[in-house]
Amino acid sequence: MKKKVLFGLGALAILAMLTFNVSLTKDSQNGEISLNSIETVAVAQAEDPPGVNCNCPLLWGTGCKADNYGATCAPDGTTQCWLYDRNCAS
Amino acid sequence: MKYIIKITLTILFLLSCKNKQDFFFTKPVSNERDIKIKDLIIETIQLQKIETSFTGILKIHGDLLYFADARFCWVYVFDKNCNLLSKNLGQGGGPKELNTGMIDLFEPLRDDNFIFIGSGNDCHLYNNKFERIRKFVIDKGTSMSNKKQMINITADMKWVYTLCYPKLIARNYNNYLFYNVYVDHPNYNMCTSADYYKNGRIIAKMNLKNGKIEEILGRISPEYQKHHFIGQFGLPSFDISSEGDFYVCFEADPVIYVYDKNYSLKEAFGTKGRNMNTSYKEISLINEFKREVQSQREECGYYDFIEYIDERGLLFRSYTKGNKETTDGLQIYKGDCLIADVDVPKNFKILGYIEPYFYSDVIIDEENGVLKVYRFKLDKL
Repeated sequence: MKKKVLFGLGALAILAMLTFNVSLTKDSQNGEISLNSIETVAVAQAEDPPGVNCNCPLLWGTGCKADNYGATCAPDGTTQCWLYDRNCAS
Repeated sequence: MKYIIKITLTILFLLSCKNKQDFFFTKPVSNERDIKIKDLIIETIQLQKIETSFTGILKIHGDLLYFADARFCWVYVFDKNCNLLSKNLGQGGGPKELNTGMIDLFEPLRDDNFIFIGSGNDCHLYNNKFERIRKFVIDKGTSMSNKKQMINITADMKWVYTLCYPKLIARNYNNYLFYNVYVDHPNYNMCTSADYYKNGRIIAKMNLKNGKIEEILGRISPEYQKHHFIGQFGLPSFDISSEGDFYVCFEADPVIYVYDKNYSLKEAFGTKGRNMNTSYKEISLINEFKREVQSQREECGYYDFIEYIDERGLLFRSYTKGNKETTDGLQIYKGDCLIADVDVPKNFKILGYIEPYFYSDVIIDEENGVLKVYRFKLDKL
């Protein structure tokens, strides 16, 4: 009886260890994937240009564009003026 | 003796203060004509059907036509008979995609690379396989945050100039991209600032390696000072020959100005177009300008676009006549001599040359879902 209990506890312990290791591996893989994502984002951000002043045209034309000096169409520091074209619809 | 030296120096100083604008424009104007062509036989060719937003830019480079869809960022390549050869890029961040939302400028470069500029001053350089080389931003050398509020603006401030979005033209020479610019600032612009017409620049010189604007070149034609603000016709056009000569055309001026690669004036020539309505309205209020600019450009004629074809040594200048005429005009110059002034379809402009044809810019027929070009031959010239 004592041997059976000890054997059972041992098996449980091994099972527990195996489960824990698998979990660690998964987390480690996830960690690696997460790290890759961070690196990808960091590279993308490094490539992103600094913000520009996006404005509607003062005199003529349409569209939210850098270095126009009409009405403001996008938040300060925006790099993607085109996302705010609708704010300049004539 | 001292007095003589002082007087001499004063006189020399006064002489050096000659109007800077004269430096860019004073030359005898040649009006030579030797008409060799009375009309053109123009063919209309439809580009093979593509998926498109019907906004885009057509360019000719080598013996191919390239259509860059401005919204989807695809670049379609056609042969000289407008058969589709390939579809490239499209929006995205991958090395063979274009990471911008709207193409404002697309220009093939002389080294067979391509440049795209988006609405955020973002520049994207690609090789001839449409693989990304690098991305950078136009650098005007300032990080000022309150530019809109600036009051004491002078024409030599590089930051105040912007891409000439209503009629954007870019040309490549050596490691530079030259593009036309204007000023859209509330305190310095073509509608309210007399100084703009005396000292305003017209062409930016951007270093393709780093996006830095190294110079803003040129001046606006003195023809504009005969009027009191006609900014609605204030968009210049230019081309650069393989020798580096600038050919510059102003919408309200019949004269074409030729400058060398250092932007020193070489010659000036040009003949008025035919049947152009030049009753330009003088507009000096911004709200009036915004209301009138489109109708003015429809009602009146102006010198629209200039293209020098190196392969044939011919200069083409297209001009509009106004909406009372059913055609527009195209002038052809060989050297400084006008050899043709012919009627062409409305808004016709020469885009380039693939032997033996001269091609027009794209005609976008959204209603019928087609893109077309005109082409014609000029034999024995």
